[in-house]
Amino acid sequence: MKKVNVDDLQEGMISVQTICNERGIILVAKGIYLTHSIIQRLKKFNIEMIEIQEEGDEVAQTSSVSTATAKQVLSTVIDIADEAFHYNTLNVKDKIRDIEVVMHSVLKRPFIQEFLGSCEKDQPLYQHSLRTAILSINIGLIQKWDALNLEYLAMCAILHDCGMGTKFIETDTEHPFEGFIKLRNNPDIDMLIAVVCLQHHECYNGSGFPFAFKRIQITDFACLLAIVDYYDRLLMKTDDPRKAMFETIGKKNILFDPGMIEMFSSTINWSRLYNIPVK
Amino acid sequence: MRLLIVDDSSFMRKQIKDAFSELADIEFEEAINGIEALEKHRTFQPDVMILDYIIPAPDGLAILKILNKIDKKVKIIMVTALGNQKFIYKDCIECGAFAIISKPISEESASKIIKSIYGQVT
Repeated sequence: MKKVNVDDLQEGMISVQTICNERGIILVAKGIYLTHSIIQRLKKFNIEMIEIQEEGDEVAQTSSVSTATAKQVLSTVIDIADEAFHYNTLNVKDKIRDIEVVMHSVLKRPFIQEFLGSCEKDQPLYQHSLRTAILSINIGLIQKWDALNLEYLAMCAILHDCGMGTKFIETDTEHPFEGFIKLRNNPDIDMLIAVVCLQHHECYNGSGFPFAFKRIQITDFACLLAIVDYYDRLLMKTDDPRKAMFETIGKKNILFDPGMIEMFSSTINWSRLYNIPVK
Repeated sequence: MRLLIVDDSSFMRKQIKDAFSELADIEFEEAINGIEALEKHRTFQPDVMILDYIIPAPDGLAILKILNKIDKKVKIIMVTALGNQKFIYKDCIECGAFAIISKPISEESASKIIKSIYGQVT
């Protein structure tokens, strides 16, 4: 690993560092090949030095996407998108191809397959992890986020409840911190993902846990994921997606950042919202 | 001694490095935001951190709270440009800061810090 001045960066170099802007949007990530646009982006945000992989450094391993786990995940993604279209209130189906592309890319990370492979397909944790990933990617796509940010958002969503182990436990308040420690201890996992896991139950008004952080202390990915997580946990308990939707939006300025709620609302199919039959 | 400087200003990082470099045998590492601070804490395992109060999220106080829970050994010196505001001092001390100092950091204040932590860090 060596530190290189941004003016001396060349396309094809591999970053070993993740750098975000002040809004938490990723400019460059660990393990990413530098392109002309990434180098320009770093210059635009006045980043001076970045850490680059050298010959002989350990290279991050990738997983095959033709494993049984990966195939099962991709098949579940289609099922969830269908279900979201028929019974939920979000415009997901027309983005399914793009969502699949992001999931395909995410599944190349060994730790993602390892986590999803450790959960049973029909268990709530597996389904919840994938649903929050799909809903988060959908929001990112509507916001026109780039592939890098979509991929990281998806990884954060898939792993956000990994502190629960392999079973979903609604009342477990230790899981954000447990998950953070678990992810932090894995050198292949970006610290951003560990921090988002730690913060996904923190609230806009500072009433969340485990640290009761204020909004300024919470990363944007965690703010967004908190909304999607809340909505999906309500969906797991109710037969009425409208109720879940309105209850989530009703927490604007209380539990959730108003700007993030606007982003979440932008994915709602309002005509379907008023016409869907109650299950 | 391993010292991690966390500040989003390269000017401030250099100033802090200059203030400390003459005082002891120090190995330096730098981070520009909260996420990188946690990453460098994991990989560099500093004995001491100079942590700016205001950095991109998670901010300095959030990082202090997190590290206080996972690493009781690292000594964290909070740096603030916000002046002598009591609530900042109270928050930082309650969250486990070793010391709080104001910007800009002089060699004199750096020297006081080194004296107070030396002997505790090997």
